[in-house]
Amino acid sequence: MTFEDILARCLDALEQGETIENCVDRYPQHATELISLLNLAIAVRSTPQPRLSANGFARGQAVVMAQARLQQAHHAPFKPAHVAAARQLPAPIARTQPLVAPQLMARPPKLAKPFLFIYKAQSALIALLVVLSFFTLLRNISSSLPGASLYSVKILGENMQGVLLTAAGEQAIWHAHQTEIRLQELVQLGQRDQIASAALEQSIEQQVLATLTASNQLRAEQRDQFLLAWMTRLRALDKDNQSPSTVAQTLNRTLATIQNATQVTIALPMPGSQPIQTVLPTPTPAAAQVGVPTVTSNPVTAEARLAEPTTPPATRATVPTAEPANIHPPSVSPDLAPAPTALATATMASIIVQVPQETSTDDDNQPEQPNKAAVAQPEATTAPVVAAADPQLPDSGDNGQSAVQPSTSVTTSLEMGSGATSTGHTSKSDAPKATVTPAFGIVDAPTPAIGSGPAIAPATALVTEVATSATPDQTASPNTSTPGADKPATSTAMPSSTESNTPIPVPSETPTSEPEKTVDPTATSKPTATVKPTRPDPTDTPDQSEATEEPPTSTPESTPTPKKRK
Amino acid sequence: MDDIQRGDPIEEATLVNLIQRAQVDFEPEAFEGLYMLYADRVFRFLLVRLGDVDRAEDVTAQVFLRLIEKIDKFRIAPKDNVAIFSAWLYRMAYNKMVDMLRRHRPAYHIAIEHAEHIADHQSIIEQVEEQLDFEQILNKLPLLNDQQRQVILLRFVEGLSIAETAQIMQKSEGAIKALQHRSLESLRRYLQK
Repeated sequence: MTFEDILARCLDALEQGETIENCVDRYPQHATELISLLNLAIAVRSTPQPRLSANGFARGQAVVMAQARLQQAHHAPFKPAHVAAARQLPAPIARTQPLVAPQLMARPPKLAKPFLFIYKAQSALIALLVVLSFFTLLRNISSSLPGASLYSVKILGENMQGVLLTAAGEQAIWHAHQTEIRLQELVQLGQRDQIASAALEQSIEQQVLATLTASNQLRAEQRDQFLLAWMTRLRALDKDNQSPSTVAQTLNRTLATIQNATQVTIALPMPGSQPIQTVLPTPTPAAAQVGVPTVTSNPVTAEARLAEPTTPPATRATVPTAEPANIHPPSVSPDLAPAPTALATATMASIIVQVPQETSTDDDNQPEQPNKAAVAQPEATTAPVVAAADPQLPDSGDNGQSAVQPSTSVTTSLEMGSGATSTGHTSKSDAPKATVTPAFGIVDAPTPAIGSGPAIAPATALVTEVATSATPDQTASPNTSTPGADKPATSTAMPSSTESNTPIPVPSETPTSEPEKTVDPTATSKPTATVKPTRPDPTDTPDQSEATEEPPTSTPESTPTPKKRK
Repeated sequence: MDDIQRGDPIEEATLVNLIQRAQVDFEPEAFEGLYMLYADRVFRFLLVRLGDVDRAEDVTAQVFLRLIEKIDKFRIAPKDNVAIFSAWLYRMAYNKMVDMLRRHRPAYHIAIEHAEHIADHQSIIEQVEEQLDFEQILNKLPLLNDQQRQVILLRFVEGLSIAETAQIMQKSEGAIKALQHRSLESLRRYLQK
């Protein structure tokens, strides 16, 4: 037996009540060692044992009780461990202890159904209110106007949207949309008799430029379609014309800017088809009306048409225009709306050419005619019409018109789109002699700002411009117009006309001139030949000076001069 | 549990009854009874090692909260449930103490020449434990190692038998006897100095 075992036995004996002497007597060989160790053990056992302080004990007890109650409330009745623990109980104990306490079996449900229903109803109601308030806020933000407290939030959201669209390569669409939004805001402000800030107009101009710049990245066809659709939407912003003049001017200026830019860029693809697509809906009467002026203005075109029966629909429309009698009756009707549309669809260019001639000869007779004067600019445009309609025409090429035609074709296409929209307005204002006027109305004169693109501008603006330009320039212009002055005259004439706004009797001239026009077509062609070389640059037309340009009008008087030249 | 008083000797039947009630119904009174029986014992067990009354009290409360969470994991044996449950509860206390020491490990500033010695012979916990001051019982107890202190505590402070101590310390009875002898010898030696 080892000393460790002896020590253990002695310690157990001491616990049983024996004394140290009894243990030492049993193991005398280890007496000295045992005595010291047993005394030490007794001393340690006699030492007062440390205990939890009263506060510590009470605090711990409270914590344990609280946790036990919480555990009992949440887990006791449903814990599978209880069943397992009950199974593990020793047989006699397990019999005495119930598996589940009776009070747990009768425990009531945690929450009564009515309270649950109310709670759920409240939650649903709160959620609904939150959603409604959120959408209301979004709606207010989207409809906010400049100056409103939420307008900055609107701009911020648009910028974020713009970043995404720009990243997706939809810059043109994005800027066009922004332009429309800004213009809508402008219109709404105008309808509320509020003054639009300069920042808003600046943003509109910036968006327009950005749209045009971004549209250059599109293919020609896509760009044309995109711009036409865009312009159509822009024109639709102020259908009712309820907005004040300042707003209308801004709208017109914007449209004119777009038209100018499109004229330049669209020039290449224009040769034939593009404008025609938009033109399709044009009614025949309008085309006839237009035809008359075209013949007079551009003899070359007329010749080409005559020579080639296969000319596209646009040219056909111009040819019939030679018949003035047919044209007049429809135009006379008070509601000229259909006529203008027809013009727009058929061939805007042809219309444009004729107008100047008429305006030059007749003055002050018909207020509506001024619109035609605006068209006068087009002599440049007239040539294009021919080109687009009859690309195969030999005459055009001989006269050097070939170079000119492309540019003109571009203008026509633009005019087509614009004319369609503008005609609606002009038709109403047309005078009784409207036969001519409707056509002119179609050719909407450009807003003063742009100058170059007369056709796009709304009817009202067009009419005014025509009046001014027709009266003064016609006399002087005839001769000058033919060569190079035509293009500039057209573009510049537009703005000047807008300023004067006085209706010019030009339309009245048309009836008189019509017979002449029909007769002269060939003769007029001569001047066109001279004019064409000057026109080649479509870009020139928009910026040319206003006063001098009006002359391009192809009044009957001018036509004879070209003949002499030939 | 009106019949259970703080620090009463633990009886097998009483302990089994409390454990069953705690497992089946989570009776707060059953846990209160267990707390009455073991709170001071656990506290002393922790105080010997931590040497800080406040920390020992906090850890004691945490041990019983842990007991409430894990009471359903205890398997009642046919016999010796006192030793088994005590060993299980002391092990739980030991784990809690270690967790606490890991979270709140004190920063020791030890000279470089002493660092190697400390690293070779003692863990940080052991070092801390050796620095403890067991005022009420033995001033020299911290000089013993952990197992010696534990044996002294269980055998002569708590009054457990060799078998119970062996079960708690997860050692054989022979190992406990030898450890008990060495512990008393070491303690006597320190007391003589």
